[in-house]
Amino acid sequence: MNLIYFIGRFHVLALHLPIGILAMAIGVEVYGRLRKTDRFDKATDVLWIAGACSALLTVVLGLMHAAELGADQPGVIAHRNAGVALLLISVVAAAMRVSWWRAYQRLWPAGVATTAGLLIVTGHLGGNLTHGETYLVEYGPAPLRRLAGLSDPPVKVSKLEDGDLFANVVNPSLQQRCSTCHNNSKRSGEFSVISYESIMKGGENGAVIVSGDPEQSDLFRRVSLAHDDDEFMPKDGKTPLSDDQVKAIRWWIQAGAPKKASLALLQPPADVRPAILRSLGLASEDAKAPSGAEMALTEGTREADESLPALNVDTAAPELIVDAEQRGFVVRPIAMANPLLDVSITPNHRIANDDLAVLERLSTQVVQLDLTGAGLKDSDLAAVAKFTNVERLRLSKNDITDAGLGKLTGLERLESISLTETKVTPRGIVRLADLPNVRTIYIWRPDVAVANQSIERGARRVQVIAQMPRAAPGKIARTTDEQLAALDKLLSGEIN
Amino acid sequence: MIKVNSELRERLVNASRRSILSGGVGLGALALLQLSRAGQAISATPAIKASPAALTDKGILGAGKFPARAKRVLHIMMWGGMSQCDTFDYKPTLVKMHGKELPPSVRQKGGRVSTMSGAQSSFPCIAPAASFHQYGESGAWVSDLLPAIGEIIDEFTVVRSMYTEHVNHDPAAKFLHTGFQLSGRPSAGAWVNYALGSDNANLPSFVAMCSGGQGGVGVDASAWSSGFLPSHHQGVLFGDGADPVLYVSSPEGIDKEGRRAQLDVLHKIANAQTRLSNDPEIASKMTQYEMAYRMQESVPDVVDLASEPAHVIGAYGPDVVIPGTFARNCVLARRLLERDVKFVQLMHTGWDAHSFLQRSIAYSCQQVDQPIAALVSDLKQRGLLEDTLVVISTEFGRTAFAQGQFDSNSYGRDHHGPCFTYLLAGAGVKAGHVYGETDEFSYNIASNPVHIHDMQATMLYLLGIDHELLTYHYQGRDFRLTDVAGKVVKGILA
Repeated sequence: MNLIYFIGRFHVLALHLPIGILAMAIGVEVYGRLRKTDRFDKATDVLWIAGACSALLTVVLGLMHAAELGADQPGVIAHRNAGVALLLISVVAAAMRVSWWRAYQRLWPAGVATTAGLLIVTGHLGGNLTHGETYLVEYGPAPLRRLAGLSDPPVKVSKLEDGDLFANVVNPSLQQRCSTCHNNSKRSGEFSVISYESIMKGGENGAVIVSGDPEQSDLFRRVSLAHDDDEFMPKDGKTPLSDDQVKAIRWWIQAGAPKKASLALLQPPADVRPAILRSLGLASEDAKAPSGAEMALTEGTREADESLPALNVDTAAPELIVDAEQRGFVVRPIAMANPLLDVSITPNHRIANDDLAVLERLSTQVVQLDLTGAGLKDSDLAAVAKFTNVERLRLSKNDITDAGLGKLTGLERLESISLTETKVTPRGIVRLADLPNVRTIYIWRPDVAVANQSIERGARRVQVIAQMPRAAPGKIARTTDEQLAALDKLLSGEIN
Repeated sequence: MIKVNSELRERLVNASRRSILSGGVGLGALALLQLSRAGQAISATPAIKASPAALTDKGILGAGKFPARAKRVLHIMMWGGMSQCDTFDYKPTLVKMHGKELPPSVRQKGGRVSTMSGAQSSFPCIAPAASFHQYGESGAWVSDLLPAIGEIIDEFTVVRSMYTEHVNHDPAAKFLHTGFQLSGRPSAGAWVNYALGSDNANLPSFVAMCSGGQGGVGVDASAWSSGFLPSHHQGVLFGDGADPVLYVSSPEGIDKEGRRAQLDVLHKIANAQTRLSNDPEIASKMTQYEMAYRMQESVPDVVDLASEPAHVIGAYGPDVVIPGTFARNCVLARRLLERDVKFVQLMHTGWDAHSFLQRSIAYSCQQVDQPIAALVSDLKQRGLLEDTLVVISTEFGRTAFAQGQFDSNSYGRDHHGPCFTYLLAGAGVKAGHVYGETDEFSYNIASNPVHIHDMQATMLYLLGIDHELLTYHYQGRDFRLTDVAGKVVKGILA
């Protein structure tokens, strides 16, 4: 059976032959007759015969292919009937043209018209099977869409609150990525996404949506599997749903899979809001992420999306960056086409008076700032405090004390700060722990041994790392010096 | 002649592509520098007294596609094939079955064995060379041969399910370093250098150091080679002598000004030659001359340990006083990473324990245990582990069965590609995590297999790079570090 399926799939390849050849035959036939020339007669014979032969090949392959798709599906039956009719008429036309020229002379307009008509009908029915019924007119003008029985496309919303979760977010994704196979004529797995009702009805294994429970919902499970999993949808290498789309579907199911669900009422939480916004094509509203299409191309995207700081800043002017680099700062964007910057001082480079003032012009863009060993004093920290978007800050190997740290209280986004090899004390860093996002403070110094500590601030725990934590093992036997000496002796003569 | 021309044209295409890609942030300084790399305006750069930051080469990408979790990579490679059974992959079954035949079904599932043990009539299991203990909150098993690493195992993800197709050192090591088993491809460090350039114009952005030795398998230069990439992306090998970088100090009678004047003349000559041939290798060469000039000051600063307190250095173990030892290289590695060198690669030989397993592996473990623990601790204390990725790798593992005469006590373990262990720590990697399982003999992988290419893809990912998009066009096609494979191992990402 597999062999038949295998060969059958060549139908999709072979079908282009009769379309091309018969169209050519018709074209040459009509042209020759209108211009009243017999120059093409011989060639036209050949074209008709070749067209008929290729139609025969295609029909045979098509019957095999139908075995795989399910020969009893209405869409398949219609396409098959049209295809067989096309085969018959093209054989008759070819035979008459070659053998019964006189009869053909009278009947040719009928033959040509029927062949052309059947060619279009068969092709269209076949296209519907492969691409889905809505493919052709999906982007057509509204009257054409209505004629084809499609509802009007969801109105593009201009802000999130105007949108509907199902109509504007979930349904368009399903139509875009699932309806090729799960439509009313193809119904793979007895499942169709053509309407809300058919989605909720499910497929051959029952319902695919369990309201409120995405993990139990087959639809969510199968689109969120690893892409090489056997059960992953869409299969056969078709374009998968984007991470944003999957996230939105998950949230929709969680919300009870409603048919009408105003986003104004649902109020998407912060973790799905950017995904919904991007799905609505409103990415610029508050999540300035790299373009969704570009990011969705390869794996790793999910993590990348989430680790992007949700900051809306403008790209810095190139000359400001050149200025900063002239002052010894290495400036890089944190990712391509991202306005946020990672700045570090060239190692062993000490800054001069107004260097920080020059760098300050980039203060909204800088999220990582490394000023290790830059010769900072407490008085310089007022300038550092102006980098209010900074998330990771290194001030190691500078002559700074607890007094200077008081100036940093405005760094509300700060997550990690390194104060190693400075003169700060465990007392001084306690107020840094009050900053709302701080998680790690490094205060190691070579001359004083300080214990690690953990500061609780509500649900947040701030790790103060002054040395490497070591895990005491169970009983372990270390190699003794005598043993090592013996080993050395042994090994000095022979290894391999 | 035709061939030369077509190759040249290819290089020019690469060169112009590079300057186009460099657009965006840092346009001015960057573009100037990129142009000079393409060999069109070399003379402009050295004459200007620009800050080192302005001279910094940001690489062809400038930044990753994703925000990088790692800004630096420390790659420690255990050359020769570190035995997983005696270090991190604890199998009580091997103790129980010590001396008993490894079930043939298990051995056959593992595929070919090397020709060295292939002819053996018997394949008896052998117990690990030392007992094991669990450490830390993760409860990972670590051999008693590595007590110091055990104490900080909570910083690591232990990947026990690494595998490779290769059965011999040379192809396996080349595969690990360059993604391909034959010579000629760029090493991972060179790729990273090509992609992201440098954060410190005064030091090479890719430094390699070797230690170990004493017989066994030698290190080969493919591990830091630039392959077909422009040659200035090659790793700089720090030696173990008084001069870690050979010939970088000026000969007697040449002072700094003299050297500068000499270089300026060289630039003029190079410029003239570039106008004739447009060969970017001329620019590469001048880049290296300039780098060497700056290294005359920066390298002595790196290798001078006078400023290091004794207890800090002492943590690396007694070997640290001897240049060229693994311990000493670990101190240098930390000092390089502190100075924003992007890719530091330590290679330690002596793991090829074909015979006298107990002695051989105890010796190697003793050489690396304390230094690795001290280095990782040092990075952690200084807040650098947050954005430094530490990878401890080996080209393959070793067999659960004995190679050689079992009863003579001279037995060892043979090469074993189907499973071995990597350790990862730092930027973007889970801490205190064990990934992947092997069967009860540590012979075949039971779950979550990770191929060498997968690990390369993951490393690039943590640097922000999409491994499928970092390509170089050479001899008519695009090449990448991961060849045509590789998947980011998401299970180990923090």
